[in-house]
Amino acid sequence: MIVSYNWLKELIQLNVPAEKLAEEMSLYSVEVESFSKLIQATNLVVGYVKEKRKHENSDHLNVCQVHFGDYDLQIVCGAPNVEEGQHVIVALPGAVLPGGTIKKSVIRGVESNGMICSLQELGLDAKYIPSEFAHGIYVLGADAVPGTNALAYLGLDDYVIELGLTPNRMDLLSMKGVAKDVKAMYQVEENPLSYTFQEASQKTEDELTVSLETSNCYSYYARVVKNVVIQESPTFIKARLIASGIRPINNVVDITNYILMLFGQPLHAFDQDQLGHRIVVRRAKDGEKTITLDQIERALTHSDIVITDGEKPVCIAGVMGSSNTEVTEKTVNVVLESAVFRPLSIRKTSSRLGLRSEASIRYERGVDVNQSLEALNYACYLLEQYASGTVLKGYIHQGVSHIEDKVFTITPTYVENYLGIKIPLLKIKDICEALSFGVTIENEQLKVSVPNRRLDITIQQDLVEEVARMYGYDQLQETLPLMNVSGGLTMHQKARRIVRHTFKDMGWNEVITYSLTHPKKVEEFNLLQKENETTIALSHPMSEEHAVLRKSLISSLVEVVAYNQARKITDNAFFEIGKKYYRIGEDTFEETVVSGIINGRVPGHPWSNETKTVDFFYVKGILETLFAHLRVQVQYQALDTPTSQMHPKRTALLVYRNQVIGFVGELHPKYAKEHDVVESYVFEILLDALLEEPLAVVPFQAISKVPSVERDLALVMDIQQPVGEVLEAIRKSDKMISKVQVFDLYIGDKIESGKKSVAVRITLESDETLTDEIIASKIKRILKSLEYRYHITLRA
Amino acid sequence: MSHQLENIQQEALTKIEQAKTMLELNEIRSYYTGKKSPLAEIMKGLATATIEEKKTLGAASNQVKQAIESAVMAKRMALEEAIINAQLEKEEIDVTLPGYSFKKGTIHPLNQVIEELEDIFIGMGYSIAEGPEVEVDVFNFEMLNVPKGHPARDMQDSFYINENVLMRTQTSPVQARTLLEAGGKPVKIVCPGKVYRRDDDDATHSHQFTQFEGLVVDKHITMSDLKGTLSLLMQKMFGENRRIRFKPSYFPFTEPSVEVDVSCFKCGGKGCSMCKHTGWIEVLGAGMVHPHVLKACGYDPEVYQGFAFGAGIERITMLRYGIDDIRHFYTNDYRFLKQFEGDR
Repeated sequence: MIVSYNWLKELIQLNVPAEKLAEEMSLYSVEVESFSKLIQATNLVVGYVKEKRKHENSDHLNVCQVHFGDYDLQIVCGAPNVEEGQHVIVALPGAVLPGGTIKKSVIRGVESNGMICSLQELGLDAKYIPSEFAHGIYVLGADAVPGTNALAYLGLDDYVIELGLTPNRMDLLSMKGVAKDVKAMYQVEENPLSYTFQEASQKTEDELTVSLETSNCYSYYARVVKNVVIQESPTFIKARLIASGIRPINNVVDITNYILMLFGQPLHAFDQDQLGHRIVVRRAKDGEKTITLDQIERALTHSDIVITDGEKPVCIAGVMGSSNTEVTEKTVNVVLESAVFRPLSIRKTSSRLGLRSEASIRYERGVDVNQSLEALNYACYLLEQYASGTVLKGYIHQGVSHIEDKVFTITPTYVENYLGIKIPLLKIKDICEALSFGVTIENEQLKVSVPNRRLDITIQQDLVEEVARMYGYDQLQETLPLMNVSGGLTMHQKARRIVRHTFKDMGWNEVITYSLTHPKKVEEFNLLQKENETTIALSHPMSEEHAVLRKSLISSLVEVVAYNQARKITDNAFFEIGKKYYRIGEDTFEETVVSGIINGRVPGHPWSNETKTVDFFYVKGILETLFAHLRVQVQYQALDTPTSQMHPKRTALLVYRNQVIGFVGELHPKYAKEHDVVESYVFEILLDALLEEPLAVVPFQAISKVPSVERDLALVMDIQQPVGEVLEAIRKSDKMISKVQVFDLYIGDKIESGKKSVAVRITLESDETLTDEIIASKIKRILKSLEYRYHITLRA
Repeated sequence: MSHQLENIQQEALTKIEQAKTMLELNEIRSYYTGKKSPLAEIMKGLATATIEEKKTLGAASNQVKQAIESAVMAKRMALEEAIINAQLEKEEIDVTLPGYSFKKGTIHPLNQVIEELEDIFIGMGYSIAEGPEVEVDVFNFEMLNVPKGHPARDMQDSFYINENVLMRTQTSPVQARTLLEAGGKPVKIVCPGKVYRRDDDDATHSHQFTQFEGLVVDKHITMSDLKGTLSLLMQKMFGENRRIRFKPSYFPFTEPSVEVDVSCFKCGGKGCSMCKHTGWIEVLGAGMVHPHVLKACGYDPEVYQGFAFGAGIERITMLRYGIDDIRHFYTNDYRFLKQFEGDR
């Protein structure tokens, strides 16, 4: 909604400068999106072209003597339509136009003291400019007084305030509504609209019948105006429409738009000679068609409302008229409609047809039926005044004619309890009255009656809002809620922070990538899929790129690495904590995962040439640190079902409490190559499963006073034997074993082929001194068991 | 005799003084103090002397011996010192060469801001609530006073999965879920999370973004409590001199609804390019919980009141760090992320 400051001043006794008004409306009424002068250009004066002669050195320039009342100036003009006897807009030297500043100059040897302007040159959008003046200077009426302000003559010396309307404030979609709110802000008086018109003896009801055949039309008023003269609108109507952002067309159409802006009541004018004498409002038939004013054929459905002549549609109700009854230059007799329709129905129709009109915007939000008749009558007055129309006697009405005020009871105590500040009873009364609400006081209670135009006020709290905003939100105190509750992070939230900070502390960079992904990528890296799991897809995606919900984060992380690598950033380490989404049957699931990708060099000595590249065991070490921080123990299992995204021989599944909760490994070299990334290692861990059980407190263990003992063993085993299993077996074989470490791995010709030698260091701890005999016997037992279970021998 | 002793002492001390190495010093020491030393020879010759002579000479010889021993000791310390000094000299390093590189990781700026906000609210006794991103229409709209056909649905065109399920367009459904779960008890939560809207990605729009929402419901919660809470929040986020102001607005799930401006933290409110010369920057939406929402969640609006607020994390982060394009957050350029290194 664009508000004309001049129009507003016509409606209320406003003494506030435009800029201040714009600022304060934001605080007390509704958000102001922009504020500006309607026309930025300055120093524009009415001039009278006394004399015009050809420029001696040009075939298209004219030299004009222009009269300004007290003085004359010579101005060179290039416009083809400049003529003697015209009143024109002149930008005097010093005038600032959108195209630059006007200076006194010499054009091809002839002095020129300003510029005769077109409307475009003033910065007016081409759509507002009548076609006859599209390619030349604008010609003012003969009543323009030379030497006076040209913008004032045009009514364009105005300020415009654009309101950012919220869906509830339908009352602010009209100048009258805005005026009521501004009036309340400054507690000023309204200027009532005064108008009269003559009614002909001929009765409307003899010319027209109206019948409503759908309850989606609440109210339908109609009047007939005969013998209109279609012409240009008077200047003030054009100026108001231009300020409101509406293109002037002709007087009849402009008057309906003027009423729409003034009352917020959409009017529709039919050419009666095309329409006939009958109006039937009904639901459209499925497949019924009509050509709208924009010359597009529209197919209708049963949910649309149409105005018909009893047979065919002549208007899609509340949205747009049909071209078959359009008011044209030839129109003589007009039927005016002032109706109210069901908001939801209009909304459906306009969004289905993709047709948003000034009318539909208002109908969608709700139009006040109590004003429909006045709006219609005011239009008749204007048609009589400016289109020479003859208004027939009386009007036709079907449906609801008046909706009673809503009455609310509020007390200062209630207001205080809600806002936390005391507002005196009489102050509340003042505010309500300034808003044009009816107020009576009984026993410290206010009975407030709110007129129907404030459709947004439906509950007591809405009224408290009115009081609060007009009283001023700056009057609120700043207090904190007093409550008997405690807060904090849950175990799961704490654990997620541990994950995030652990990776950060180990040098990884956290990223956030999109949850929506391409259907082609969605199955990638989905090693952790559940039985019967399916993908969640959007019903109407904006693009294939973001059409389904991801089931793994890794393909996005690969993209992040590819992006950075392409920008010469090496040694990447990225992680993300996010969700994977899937569906089983009708149920949707979301699981929190942490995923990562790493490649390049292991950070180390700064200037030596020895650099190590990240490998599987580097990432495994990182994960082990994470698990230690989280106090969980996870087992590694070689991947047995190969995928095309992971290296088949360098990928492990992570097992926690007999459940696969993640994987880690090298990106399949083929996949890496296809996606332009170097050798990289990735992992993904289901955090929910890992963090499911709360951690128990582990009691303190007494520290042994006896030093621990270490023994090294070189174990020869089958080359395929997973070492982890062996270490686990040793660890579990004796309570005194506190640590089992691998310190060497040998495969080569010094031992039997098909075997490997693994050097392990076993640490034993005990409260008593461990003698050589005790240790020897324990080692012997371990070896015996290893030999039995894994055919392991001691290296010779 | 004593003359002889003096000579021995003189000779020994000179040799000790001239010793260059520890080995040399040790040899000198054993020569003069050993069983075959000149001193010992003299003592052997005393066998024929008188008791008186033995006493005086014995004492004198012991003195010589002690003098030699302490000279050796002193020399040894001097030599050791010299050795260490020489070694230290050789061990000189350039302390300005770089140290071992430990990579400094980063937390995504959006999550840094979320953690900071969470911590501010935890300090005020709030809990962190979470909810699903794939949400049902009932929670995302209907329970929040946005029935089907409501014009507010226009403000946030959504990604639907089917007629009743969509990607949540706001974190507000968590309000409804939390209230339902709390079953009539007081609620004091904040809720950060991802939300989704049908927007083309450009410098100021992202189809996926992050919201931070707060909800407080109890018997005596007022709009002044809302203002005090948000004022404190803005001071903690943007500096202690920040003020806030409320402007009338509309959200279906609050009544009254307000937009919240914070006084510009760049110019302090005088007006600058950051605040578009108004002195104020819009950062939050807020209001008193709409009675329809309370009722739908099983709270009697005659007894319970509350406030709610919400902010876009991207917007706050962009304002705070002067980031000009929302897409930076989702492009994950290392050169962008690296700028958010550090823990404070």
